[in-house]
Amino acid sequence: MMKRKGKPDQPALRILQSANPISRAADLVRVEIGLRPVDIALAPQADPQRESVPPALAAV
Amino acid sequence: MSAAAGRIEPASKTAGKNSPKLYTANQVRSFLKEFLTGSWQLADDEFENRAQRLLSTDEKFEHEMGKAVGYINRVTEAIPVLRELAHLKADAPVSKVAEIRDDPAAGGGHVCVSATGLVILGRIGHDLFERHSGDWQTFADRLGTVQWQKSAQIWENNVVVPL
Repeated sequence: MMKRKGKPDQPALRILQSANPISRAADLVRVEIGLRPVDIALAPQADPQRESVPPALAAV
Repeated sequence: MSAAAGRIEPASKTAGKNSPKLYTANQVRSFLKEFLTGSWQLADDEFENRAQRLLSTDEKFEHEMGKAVGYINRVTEAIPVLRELAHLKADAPVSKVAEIRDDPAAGGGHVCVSATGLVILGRIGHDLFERHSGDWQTFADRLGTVQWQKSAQIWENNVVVPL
């Protein structure tokens, strides 16, 4: 591909308009400005009994 | 919205490279959909239904529009590139608008000066008035610290990809 004269050697970038990337980007912006990401805030609470490490394994 | 005052393309599908316009009317509509309902992808009839409920009286309409205008004005002053565009004189040459809008040093432009950026700003605004209506200004001001350049890492592989 021919390079255009006088142009900086930078890759061309394209902005996507699909929903999930926008949601991901919005979540990153939320974190940047000190808000909780909605996807995390709305996620069901983890069951502490299921998440806890069994004592036998924890001791290994 | 102050950055877009006089810079909305009413009919075209896109605001062209050589246009002094920043957004199209449809893009502003998507922003309002997102700001009011939290979903820019609502079908038009569903949006009409919700909008009629949300904006059913003159008072409600004025209240909701006041929130949207207050938010976008605050964001415009907070984000440097939007502030610069907003403070351009109305008769500034097209080349000056394009120079700021498509700045090569920013990777060819800024996410906030795009349809996608407007949707992101609309979503943040919706969240702020839903959950932080008492101090939305604090968070809106912090949008000025986000790296909106297309080349910034925050957008990499989500809304910005190499051509």
